[in-house]
Formats: sequence, C-alpha cells, structure tokens
Amino acid sequence: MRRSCRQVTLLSAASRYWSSSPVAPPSKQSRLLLFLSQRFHDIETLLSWSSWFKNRGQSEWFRSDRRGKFSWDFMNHRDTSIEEVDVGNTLINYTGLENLVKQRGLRTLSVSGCAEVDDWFLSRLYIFQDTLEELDISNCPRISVGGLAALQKLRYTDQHGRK
Amino acid sequence: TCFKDITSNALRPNRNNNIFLNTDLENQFKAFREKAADAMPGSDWTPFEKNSSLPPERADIVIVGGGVVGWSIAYWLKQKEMIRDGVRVLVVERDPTYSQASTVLSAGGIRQQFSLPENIHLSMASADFMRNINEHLSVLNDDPVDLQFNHSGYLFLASEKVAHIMEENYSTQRYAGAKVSLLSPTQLKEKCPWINTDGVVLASYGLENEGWFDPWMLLNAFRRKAISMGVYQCFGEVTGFSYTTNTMTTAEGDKVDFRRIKYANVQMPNSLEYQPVECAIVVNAAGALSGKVAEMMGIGLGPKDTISGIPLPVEPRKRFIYVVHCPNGPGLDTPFLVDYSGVYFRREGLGGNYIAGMSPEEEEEPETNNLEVDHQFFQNIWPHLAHRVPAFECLKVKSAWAGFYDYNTFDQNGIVGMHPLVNNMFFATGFSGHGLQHSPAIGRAMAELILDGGFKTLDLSAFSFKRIMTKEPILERNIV
Repeated sequence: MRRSCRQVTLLSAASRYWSSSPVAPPSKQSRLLLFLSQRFHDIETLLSWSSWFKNRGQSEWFRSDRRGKFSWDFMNHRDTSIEEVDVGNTLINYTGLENLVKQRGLRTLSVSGCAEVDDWFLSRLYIFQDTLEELDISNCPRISVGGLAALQKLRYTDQHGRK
Repeated sequence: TCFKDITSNALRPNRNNNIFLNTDLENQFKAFREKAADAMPGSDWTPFEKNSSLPPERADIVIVGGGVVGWSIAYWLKQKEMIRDGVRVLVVERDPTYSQASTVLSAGGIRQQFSLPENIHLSMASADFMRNINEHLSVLNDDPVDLQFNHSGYLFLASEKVAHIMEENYSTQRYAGAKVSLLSPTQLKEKCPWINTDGVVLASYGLENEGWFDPWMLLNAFRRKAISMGVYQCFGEVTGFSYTTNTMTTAEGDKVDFRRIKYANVQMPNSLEYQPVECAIVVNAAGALSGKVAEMMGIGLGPKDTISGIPLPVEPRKRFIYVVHCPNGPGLDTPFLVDYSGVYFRREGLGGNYIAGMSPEEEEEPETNNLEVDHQFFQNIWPHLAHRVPAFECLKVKSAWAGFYDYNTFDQNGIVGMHPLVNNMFFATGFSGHGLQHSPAIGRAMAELILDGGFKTLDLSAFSFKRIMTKEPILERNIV
C-alpha cells in the first residue's frame, strides 16, 4: 500500500523530531502524532473506518521518516483515540478537516504555517469544542478577524497564535 | 456570430499550405467576413452613431434590477450557457450610485435558522458558494474577492410562548443538515455572560455557515465577474413593455389574455431618450420596485376575480438600522443576536460599535416614499436592548440609515418562477429581508429554470406564483 506520490511537505515535516506545539512540554500521558496529508489516501480511508488509536501510554509521535515512509506501527494501536494532531505546514483546508471530524477526543491541534487554513476552517472547529485544549494557528496568512470570532465556540481552549 | 464562425471556417486556408497565412490578403478576407456579418440583420452595427450608454437593440434575456439577485442571475446564466456567447444578457439598473438599493443598505447577515426547508437549503448552498467564492468569482489579474465574512453565528432567543416553534424549527434545520444547537438558559449564560436571560426559555445558536459579510463586496464580485463573461450593463429605467396578446377562451367561456413581451423600453436617466430592447425573456429582479414593474405588464390590473387581477404582492417596506457605540459591550464574541421581541443587533467593526434594528408592527409601518430615518423609533428598540444586555444601558447612537425590504405581503417568502399569464416574465423577488443571503443559490436556480427548463439542484417550486393564485401561503415563521 505504498504510495509513490510522497510530497516534499512530508519530508520537511519529518525532519522535526519532537513536538511541534511550542507551548507545553510533553506530558506523561499518551500522545500520538499522525501526519495527515491530503494525498495520504490510505490513512484517510483507515481513519474513516471506526475509531482507532485509543492507545494510552504511548509517548512518542507517529510521523513519517526522512524518506517519507510511514511506519505501520500505529496499526498495533487500533482502538485508541488520537489526542494530538500536528498538521503544520501542510495544505490542509476545510475539506481536509473531514478526516479529523471523527476524533472526538482531540486535545491539541496545530495548523501552524498552513497556507490554506482560512476563516471557514476555523469556523468548523466547533466540532472539537468540548475537548480541544490547545490550538496553534500561528503563521496562517489567510485568517482574519472574522475567523477569530468563530473561535468563541471552543470552550476550554487556550489559544495562541502569531500572524 | 454564428454566421461569422461558419464563414471563417469555410474560407480559412489549410494550415499545410500556409502561403496565405498572415498576409495582407488574409487580413482583407477577414475584414470582409466581419463586414458581411455586420450587414446581416441581428448584428449590432448601425450606420449612424448612437449614444453608447444606450443598451443594445437586441438581447436574449433582460434582467430588470441590478442588485445582488439580478447580478447573481446574470452570472449564473453566463456560467451555465453551453456555448460561448450562447445568451446575450442585459442587466438594467436605474441608479448607478445604488443609493436606494436594498442590497447595499442591508445588515448583511446569513443564517440557516429558518422554518422552511427550502430556505434552509438556499442558505446552505449560498454559504457553500461564499466559502469557495474565489473559485467562482475571481477574475484573472484582478484582486481576489474578500467578503470579510464574520463567522459569529446567529443566536435566536425564545420566550415561553414561542419555545415550541423554536424546537420544531430546530428539528427541521437539523434534518436539512444545518449545524444548529439548542441552549438552555444556564448554558446560554455560561456562553454569553453579558446576557440577561430573564424571560428566555430556549436559545438556538448556529454553529457553522452563519454570520455576516459585506454586501457591497458580493455585489461587486458578481458584477465584475459577469461583465468579464460578457454581460451587458445599462443604467436606465424600464418604463414599459411592448407585448403581444393572445386571447384564449376557457371551457366556461371566460376570456384569458396570454401576453408575450416583445420589447422592454429602457429610458435613460434624466433624459427622454429611450431604447426599446427586443428580448426573449425578462427577469423581474427589481427588489422593492418589482410590484411596479409587474404593473407595467398589466399584472394585477385585470378584473378582480381573475388571474390577471392578482397583483404581484411585493411592496417596499422601510426598515431602520442604528449604529450605536458602547465601550463595555459584549465585544468580539458577539453573535448576531435576535430577541423574541423582534430586536436584533450585531457587532460592527472592532471599535465597540454595534448595529441594531427592529421590525415594526404592521400598524406602525413607516412611510416608504423616502429613506429618511425616524430617530424616535430607536426609543422602541433601546428598552429591549438594555433589558437583554445590561451593558447597553449606556450607549450612544452614532448614526443610522434606512433601507427597503422587498416585502412579500402574502407570506414573506420569495417568489421564484414564471407568471402564468405573461409567458416570458420570470420573477426573483419578494424575499422580505433575506434576498441577499440567498442570492447565489437563487441565481443558480433561476439560471437552471431559464436554460434547463426546470430546477436541477434545489427544487424551489414551492416558491412559484401558483401559491399566490391559489391563495395558499407558505409562511416562514422566523422572519426578522
């Protein structure tokens, strides 16, 4: 199931080693990272199947390695829920959020540096309103005041972002 | 143009023997072909100079009214035509400054919280359009469209009396796919601490695709794109129609007049000069003045108990909007709040300004011969505002303006479709305050009706003129 169309974005993201959320140091709780790319069709299909990733006790990020290949270890943790997602510097947009919609336990989301994230994307984040604690929207050039008005729907979140 | 294409294909030399390519002879042939096409009847050429601000002598579709609905229809007609220059569309607008146009004087809100499924689908389709507006309306080498959409959502408050209506509406909205949530008074207080929940039993909050935007930007985006696609624009007033009448007799022996518009007379502003535009279809998108345009065709001027005696029930209704400044107000998080008393307000900009308004009772409707603001009317609004939001007890009215609703006196919902007696007049009017938010979807529906013969994506047959003839109103319960 290898895709030959690995993108440069994946490679550049893979060079980052630890958490890309600049705020809190990683806690002892389970943290799973999943790099999603719009072209990563296999992962998108797997996500759309029933809940997976309920693993607690995992404290490393799942990410693709330097050559862009993604390890299949996450398949061992089929029933865990994803708690942190970092899709920084990808081309994720409003439609791409479909893939994340089922993750009801999401606590951290980082879309830092995504060029396609705009106000409509922010207006859709109400889905995570009960669980989202950290949201990183730094370096997203297409966000404006109208989108920030949408963030009032997130109740527990602590937002930070730089233009 | 058809003639031109045929002749140019026939006379063009084969690419393989390119002796004639780009020579003077080839250019002369081309000039001859163009002259021959112009000499044919149906071309725009006239031997003497005419005033260039006049509309063309012939157009396929004339859209009366250059507001957001009119330009949306023009854009979608061009978008859906099967071949290039398939239809010639002319938009006639009588006021180039748009000083009295309802579009630009609107508060600019969009919501999915309606009680009719058709209205909900129209709003959702329009929001989808606006989300991808640059895919639809961007013009090459020009700035991208920025609607300045504020995603604040609408918050409707219900008292004891109307809470059951709100619950029914909520299930209709959810079934149609709108993302709405119901809030109890405690949840409401937690979400909006600045609210006074006294008297509020239930609240309905739109989570997605709701908010407000800049109507002028949307109008200009449609206009710019439509003109770039070849729509003709004319600033003039439609003062009358020339039509042919076909009288038929019913089974009971009554005579019925079927009319067909042949020419639309467009008069230039401040001048007696007019141009009769020969047209195939006329779209009445004149907003608050649609009733007058319909009268020009004799709709409503027939004997009282016949179909031709039923007028188009659209008339202008004046509504006021007041800009108030309140430094301690709700702030950035303010949704577009609509109280059960009819008062609404929303944030305007980032400087502590809000705009507020209220729909008056039937008996208190203001005069519609001008757009003067009645400042006394604000005294009716202020107590409700201050009761609902205690911070609004000290506010200052900075300015105000008035605009017209194209109010459908029959059931406050749009009239979309053909008239039964005037075979080529289409209506897209009577939206009573929610024309702007439905305009992209209405434009697409009208284009489908005209070019494809029927509705394809959204079925708006519930909004046809038929319900006015049979006197069966479809009431929208959530009118602001």
